[in-house]
Amino acid sequence: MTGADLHTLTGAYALDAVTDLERAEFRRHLDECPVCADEVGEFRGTAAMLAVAVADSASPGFRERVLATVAATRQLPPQADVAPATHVRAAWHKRVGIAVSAAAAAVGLLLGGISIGTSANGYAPVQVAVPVDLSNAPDATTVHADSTSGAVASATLSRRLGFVTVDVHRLPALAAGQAYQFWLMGPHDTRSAGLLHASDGTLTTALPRDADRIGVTVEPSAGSPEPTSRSILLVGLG
Amino acid sequence: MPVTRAAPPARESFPLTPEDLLALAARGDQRAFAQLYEQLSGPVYGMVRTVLRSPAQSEEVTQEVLLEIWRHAARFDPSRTSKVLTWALTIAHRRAIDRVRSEQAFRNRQDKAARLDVRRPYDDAGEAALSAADRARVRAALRRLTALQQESIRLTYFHGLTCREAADRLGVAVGTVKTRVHDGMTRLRAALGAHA
Repeated sequence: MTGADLHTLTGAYALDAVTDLERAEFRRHLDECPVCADEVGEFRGTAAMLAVAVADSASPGFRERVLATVAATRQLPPQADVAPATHVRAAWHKRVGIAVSAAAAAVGLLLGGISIGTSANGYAPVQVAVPVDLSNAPDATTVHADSTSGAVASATLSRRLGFVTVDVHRLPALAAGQAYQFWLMGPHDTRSAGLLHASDGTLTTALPRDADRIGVTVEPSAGSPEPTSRSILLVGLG
Repeated sequence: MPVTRAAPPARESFPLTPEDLLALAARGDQRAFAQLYEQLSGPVYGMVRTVLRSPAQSEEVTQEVLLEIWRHAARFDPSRTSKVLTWALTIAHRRAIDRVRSEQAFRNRQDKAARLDVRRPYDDAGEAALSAADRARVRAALRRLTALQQESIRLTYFHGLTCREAADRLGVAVGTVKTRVHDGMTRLRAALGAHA
């Protein structure tokens, strides 16, 4: 890309109309070119005006759901982020690709040693990884499950907040190139909730309304768009 | 706006700006965040819905964005983006775009015939929240662009296409779309202001 090309890319970049490759290239350019960086900032402000012109209302009850989730969501301290969110997203993208099908998204995070966020249906995985304190939820319930292999799992969920936290322990050791993949399963849909590359871990994820169990399958380490084998562990969510 | 509302703020005559409200929210003030919600949710949801079309998916993305703002309230950097609204919409647009592209890639693999033509154009968007004057001003500014500038901005910002995809759709070179987006945004900035 020539310098002139780069300069006219401010508009496309501000409107997210660039490919991943162009975005990465242009970001490097922005580090060195304050003129372009200023212009991107201004164009984003202008684009915000375009968004204001299409403002619309979400469905009744949406506000209450958001504010209830906010009430149970811990805030980050003022220090800068360890890594910008987009890096997490990009990394995940490479790992999971885009695959998958379902219609609603879940977001989550695997703690306890390993992976990143999750993409519900392979959509842009979200760095939100909300550390929701589900124990505060008035309807919080905890369920347990175990398997013949000795693995144990417990899940704490709040239908009201729409989140679930799953703890798993003592999953059998994985072969190289494999991962445990978590699935939110319902009568109509099975959605990926995240990957675990170890025998123990914790996953917090948005809980789709119709999900009635969480399954864990062994998949290639980059994950699969849908389960390719029977669940080695199933947690009924009641 | 939502059907149910919190009690009106006590100091109606001294409305707090989104930046004030975010500063309060950064200290854990949920009531301030609820007020901030009133100012952000309409533009965020409306824009995301224009890109994604599905109300359910748009609510998911909107919720993610609002939660992210709550979580990161203390890390808002006014030296990078002076307005909270711009910050929120930048995050939201990127999220919506990521999602629509993942979906498109999936659909394209499954069904080459997947088309976007039925998407709701920006000028059919639901009427809500914002003053008619704001909308009229934005639409008037859009109308003063050339046809190709308008189309380039419509297909990229509101429909989530890359410049390459927009160029294919419009039957022009990709460089042409990049230039038209740039020139169109420059004119819009002059007409609408650039409150980064």
